[in-house]
Amino acid sequence: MNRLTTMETLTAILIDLGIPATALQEDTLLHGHLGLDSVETVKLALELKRRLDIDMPLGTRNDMSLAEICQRVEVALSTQSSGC
Amino acid sequence: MDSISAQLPDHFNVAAYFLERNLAPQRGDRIAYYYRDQSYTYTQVSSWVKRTAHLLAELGLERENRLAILLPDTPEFVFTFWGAIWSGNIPVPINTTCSLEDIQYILQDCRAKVLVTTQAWLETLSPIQSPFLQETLLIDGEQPLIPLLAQQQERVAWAETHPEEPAFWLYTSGSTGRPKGAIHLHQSMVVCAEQYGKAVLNLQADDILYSVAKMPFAYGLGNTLYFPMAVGAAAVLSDAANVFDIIADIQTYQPTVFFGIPGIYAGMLSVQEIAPLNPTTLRLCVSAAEQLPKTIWQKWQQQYGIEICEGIGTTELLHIFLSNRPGECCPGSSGRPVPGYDVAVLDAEGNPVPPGEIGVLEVRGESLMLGYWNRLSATRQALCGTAMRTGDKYVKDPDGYFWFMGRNDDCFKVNGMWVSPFEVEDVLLQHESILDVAVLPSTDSGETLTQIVAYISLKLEFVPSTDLEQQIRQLAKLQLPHFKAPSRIHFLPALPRTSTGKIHRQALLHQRDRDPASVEI
Repeated sequence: MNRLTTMETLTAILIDLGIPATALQEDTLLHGHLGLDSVETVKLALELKRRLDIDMPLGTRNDMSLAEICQRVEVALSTQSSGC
Repeated sequence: MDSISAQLPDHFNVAAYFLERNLAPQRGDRIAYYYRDQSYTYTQVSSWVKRTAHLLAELGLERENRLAILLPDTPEFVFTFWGAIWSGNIPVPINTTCSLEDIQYILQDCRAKVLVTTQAWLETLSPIQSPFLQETLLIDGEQPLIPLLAQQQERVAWAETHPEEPAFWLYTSGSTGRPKGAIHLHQSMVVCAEQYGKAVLNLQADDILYSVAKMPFAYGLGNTLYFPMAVGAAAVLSDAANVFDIIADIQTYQPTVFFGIPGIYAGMLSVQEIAPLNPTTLRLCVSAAEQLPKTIWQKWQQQYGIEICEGIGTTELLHIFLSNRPGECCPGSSGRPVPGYDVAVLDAEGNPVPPGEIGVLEVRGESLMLGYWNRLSATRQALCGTAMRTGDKYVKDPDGYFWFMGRNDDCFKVNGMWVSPFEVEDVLLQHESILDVAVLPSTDSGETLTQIVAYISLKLEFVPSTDLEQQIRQLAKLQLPHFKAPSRIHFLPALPRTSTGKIHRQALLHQRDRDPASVEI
């Protein structure tokens, strides 16, 4: 899956959560900017698991931008596909 | 159980009571609080508290003057709370999830002369509108509190207060209107610690307590601030903001007692594959703040082999007064009265109803507040002699267990916090398409956590669509705290109304319960 597709998946999940598309940029922070609460964070992590088969704990102490999440997803996916 | 307040001396200061009992040989070196990678012994806490008391006196704060604390759970929160009580001042913790408007209101309402907060909060609140505020102490920035305290003496005598004298206030978000300041007495924390912390939970000195609810909530204040001090145990001061933080904290601090809320239990269960919980140190799990669905209780027990000891309390009674007992939990119920509390289910005339019949809950206990600050009519409505009417509807079963059956008003709780349907409806009505709206809680007959559902009737020129639903949900998230935004929207041709023109919420609920499909188009 290429980067654009990962970002598209991520933004689609966030829009489903009721976040306006206009609020979503590559450098948008999940907690610092979007202020996702615990329930929304759980839903996002579960959707990432369902759609991309990725385990992504999303604690607030290492707040990540959308671009950073995509990067982590891609690293995890490439590790999976390389059989590591 | 004998009256606890009657056993307290006339000169009684609850800060001195909790601090000095932990300075005995072999107790002072025990850890009282964990915070990030630091820990504080009871001796250290006592020293910082007295230094705080000295500073407050230097600032000219006098007996009964209020000091507002707008902080996350931090050591400075602990020091200023106890330091103020030590001096006979009145600490007023403010919940950091309050709206800015409510925080400004609370600062004015309580007439705090000193505010303890962070640089970020000060900037967010600027300008602070209270004319009573004389001093702001910051815990960070250029002149943080701790170095200031380090310069203070720690030889300060505690104020000789009375057990029945106000010690602190807690603002309740309440189910309607502006927050109300519940005035609590010096004796009240002792009552809750003895009757619930010790008698029900059997807290011990080797326990490490972890609370999801933060200290400005009555539930969190007991769990983190004074329960550990009552038995010489330790507590974790955490900045956790979601389930992933909490799971990481449990791994780090290895608590023995976990005070959760239903939404967090559900969240931890649902992410167990993504972030597995290590429950090995937990001996006891507690839940309060809203009804815990039976299914979550059962899943937790199945997954981790630990019961969740559910209870119910209110800000006005300071902590839990109905609770299940470890080993005797009845899932889905609020349990039985905590020792020292007289809990009754009454009819409209104030007479006890037979077991199995619905009535309103009335609770008597020594931890009951003095009243709401400057809210005579709200106080009169809530208190009846030595009892409080909680506004909850309950059934008591023949075995003495109490079962929550809903509220007397239209309000409900989500994530342990009150939601007024009117506030949500006001926001939704701003959308150009909406003609009429009713917001109701949905719990699927108590099997799931409460969700907010909006029933919407559209203006003629609009038709229901997924796009429109998305727009309405986005509007709600932009203007409300996220937990108050509806998670489901149903479009209806028209909403049922009463003869006086009000939305007929009960009719809508009955219609939905009878035939869920009938309210969807």
